[in-house]
Amino acid sequence: MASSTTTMITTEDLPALFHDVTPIPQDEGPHIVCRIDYPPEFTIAYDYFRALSAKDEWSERALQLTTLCLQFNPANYTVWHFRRKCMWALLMKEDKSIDLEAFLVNDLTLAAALGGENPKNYQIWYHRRAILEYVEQQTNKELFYTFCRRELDYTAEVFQEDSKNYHAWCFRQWILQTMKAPAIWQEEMDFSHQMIMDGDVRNNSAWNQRWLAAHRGQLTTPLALETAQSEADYALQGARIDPYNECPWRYLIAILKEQCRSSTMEEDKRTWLLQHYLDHAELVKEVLKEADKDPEACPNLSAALVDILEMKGDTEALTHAKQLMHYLEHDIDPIRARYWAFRSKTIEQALSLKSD
Amino acid sequence: MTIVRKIDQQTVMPFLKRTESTRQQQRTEMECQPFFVNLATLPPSQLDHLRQSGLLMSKEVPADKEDLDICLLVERHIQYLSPVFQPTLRSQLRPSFVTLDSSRSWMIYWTLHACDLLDYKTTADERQAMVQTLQLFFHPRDGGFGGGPGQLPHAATTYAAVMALAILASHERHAKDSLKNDKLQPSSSHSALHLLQQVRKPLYQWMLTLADEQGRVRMHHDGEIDVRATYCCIAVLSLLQLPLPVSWANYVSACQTWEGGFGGEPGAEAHGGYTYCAIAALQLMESTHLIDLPALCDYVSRRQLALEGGFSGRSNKLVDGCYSFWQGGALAVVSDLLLSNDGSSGTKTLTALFDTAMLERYILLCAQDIHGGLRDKPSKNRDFYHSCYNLSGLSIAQQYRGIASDTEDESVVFSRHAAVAATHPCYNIRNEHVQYFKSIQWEE
Ligand SMILES: [Zn+2]
Repeated sequence: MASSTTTMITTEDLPALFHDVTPIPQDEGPHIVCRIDYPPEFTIAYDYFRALSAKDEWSERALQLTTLCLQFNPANYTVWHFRRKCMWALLMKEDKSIDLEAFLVNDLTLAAALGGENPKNYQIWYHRRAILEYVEQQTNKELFYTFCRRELDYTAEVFQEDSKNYHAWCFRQWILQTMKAPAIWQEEMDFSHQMIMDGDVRNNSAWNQRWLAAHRGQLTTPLALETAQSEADYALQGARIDPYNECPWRYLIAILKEQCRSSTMEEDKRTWLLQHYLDHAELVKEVLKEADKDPEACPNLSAALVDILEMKGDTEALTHAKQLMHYLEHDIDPIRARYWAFRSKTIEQALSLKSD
Repeated sequence: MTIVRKIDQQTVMPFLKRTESTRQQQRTEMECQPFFVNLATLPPSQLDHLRQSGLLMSKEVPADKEDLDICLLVERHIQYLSPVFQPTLRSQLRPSFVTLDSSRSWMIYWTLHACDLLDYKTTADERQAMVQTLQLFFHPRDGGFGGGPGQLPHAATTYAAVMALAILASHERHAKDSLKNDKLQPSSSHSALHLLQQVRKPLYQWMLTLADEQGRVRMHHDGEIDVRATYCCIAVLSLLQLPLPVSWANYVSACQTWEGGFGGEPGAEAHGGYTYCAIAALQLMESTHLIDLPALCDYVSRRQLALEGGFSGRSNKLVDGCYSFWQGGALAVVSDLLLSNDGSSGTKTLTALFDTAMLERYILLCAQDIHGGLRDKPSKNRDFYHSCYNLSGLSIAQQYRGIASDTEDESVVFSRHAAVAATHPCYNIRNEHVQYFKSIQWEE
C-alpha cells in the first residue's frame, strides 16, 4: 500500500487512471485578464483535479493526482488542502491497511522534494505542521516525539543551505513549543549557541531562537535575574567578537529592558544591574582599540549605551545619552539622523522635567 | 546644480569578524555602489547615454542649469505592468507563471495599484474585464476570493481582490463624472462597486470563520495562522465599513518581539513584512496602545542601510526594494503616532523617522530596471511584486519628506522627476480611494 502512494504518475497516465471521470476545464469567462499560457500537461492535470475535487473523491488515485498537480505548482493551497483530505480519509479506512508512519514520512519527503533545497513557500511548511498535528492527535506520544525529532533534524538540514530560512525557524519553534518537553530547551540553547558562535555571529534568527530557548518558550514571563545576567554576559561575549554587529547589542538591551520592567525588580538591584552592564558595554570599546578602530564610531555600541543610559534615567545618565545621540545623529549614524533627533527631543523633555 | 545627493556618504557596513552575513553584505554593497556616482563628475558622453536611457531628462538645457535629477521611467513601467490587466484574446503571461496560478488576484492588484500610482487611467474595457475576472475568483459557497477560479478563498488573495476592486470602483466614479456619453460605460452589474456590495456580507461571515477563540486568524480553512491573515482581513473589513473584531489585536501584540518589530507568530523573528501587517492592523483597530511603540520605532529605523539607503527585511539581512514599503510604510504609521503628524500642528507636513531621500535614491537608481519594472536589487530580475512595493515605498518616501509638498529643497528631495501618487500607509491604495470608500453608504 505504501508503495502505491509513492508511485509518481505522469500526465500520460491520467486518461486510463481516470477513465470514468470527465475533466472540468477552468471557468475563464470571455474577458479574462491576467491569463496564464498554461502548458498543456498542466491543463490536463488540473482539469482532472477540478473533477475529483467537485465530487469530493478522497481516494488513492486522487492523492496521486495531487502529487502531479503540486509538481506543476507547489503553491496551490487548494490542492494541498485536498491532498490532506485524501490522506486523512485513507488513514481512516477501516481495514487499517496503511502503515501510518511510512505513509506520513512519504509526504514529508514529498514536501521537501517540492520545496527544493531552500524551501520558502508557506504551503510546504504548513503541510509539515499539519502532518505533525495529525500524529499528535491520532497516535501515541512516542511516535509524535519520533516525528518531532525527525523534523528538528530536517530544519537543521535546511539551515545548512540557508541559516536564516524564516519558515524553517518558525516551524522549529512550533515543534519545540508543541513537544512540551522541558529538557528540549537546554538542547535548543546548545543548538542556537552553535549556530551563533560556530556558525555566523550575525545570524539574527539564531539569536532570536536563543531568546525563546532562554525563556523556555514562556515569552511573557521575564527571566529570573540570575538567568538574565548569564544571557546578558553571553550577549557581551558576542559583542566582543564583533562590536559592529547589531544582534548581541539588541539582545543585551532586550534582556535588561525585560528585567527593568519586571515588577519584582527592586530599585537598588535595578540601578546596580544597569551600571554593571553599562561598564561592561564600555569595556567592549577595548576590542575596537585593539583592532585599531575608532571606539567612539561604532553605531550599534553607542546606540546600546544610549539605551542603557536612558533606562538608568538620572540626570547625569540622560545628559550623557544626549551627547552620544548628538554624535550618532551628526557623525556616525547620519542615515538615522531624523530618528536620533527625535530621540534627543524625548530625552530633553525628560531632562527638563527633572530640572523643574 | 542638482547632483546625486550625499555622494560622500559611502558608509560600508563595518565588521571585525568575517561571516556569511558580512560576505553577502559586502557583495550587495559592491553591486549597489556603482549606481551612486556623482553625476556632475561624469563625462558628457556618459550623461548622453543616461539621457538616451531615459534616466535623465533629454531636453537640452544650458550647461549651468544642467538637470541631473534621476527620472522615474513611468512609461516603461506602465508598458511592463499594464498588459497583465488588459483583456486580450491571447494569454498575457508566459507558461512559467503557473507557479503564480494561485496568486492571480495578487498579480492584478500589484500591477493595477502600481500603474495607479503612476497615474495610469484604466479604460472601461479594462475595468470591466478585471471585475469579471475577479468575480470568477470569488467563492460563492464559502464567501471569499481565491487566487484563481474555483480555488478556495484565501485571506491574502481576498485582500488583493478587494483592494483592486476598490481602485476600480474609484476609477469608475471618475469615468462617470467625466464621460457622461461614454457608450462603453459598463452596465451596473459589471461594476466593481456592485460586486463589492454583493460580496461584502459574505466576506464578513467567512472571515469570522477564519479566527479561533484566541483571535488567531488563519489564511484559509486548514491553512497557516499568522499576522498577515489578521491584517488582510482587517484591511478589507475596515475599508468596507464592516465591524472590526478588535479582540484580534491581542494576538497581534503578542507577536512583538524582543527586538521591537513583529514576527509572523509569537516567538518568531521580527521581520519587515509581518511588522507592517501588525502595525497597520493595530492602527486600523485603534489598538496601538497595546504595544511598545518606541521599541517598534527603534527596530524599523534600524532596518535602513547606511550605504544602500533602502531597507532590509530583518537584522543583518540584505537590502531589498520591497521593504521600501513594508518597513517604510510601517515607519510612516509609527511616525504618525509618535510625532502626531497631521492634526495638532495644523499643517499637512508629514515626517517619517527615516531618511526618505536615501530611500528614493535606492529605488530610483538600484531598483529600476531600465526596460521597465522594478526589482529587489540590481542583481535580481524585475517582477510585478517588487514593482508594486518599490513604487508604494517611493510614494511613502515622497509623502513623508517632512516638508511642504511643493518644495524643491535638495537636501530632502532626491529627484523632481519621480513623483508618484500618494498611497495610504494602512491599505496601500491611493488616499483618494480610501476617502471615497469612507463616504460610501452601503446597502445593509
Ligand atoms: Zn523583496
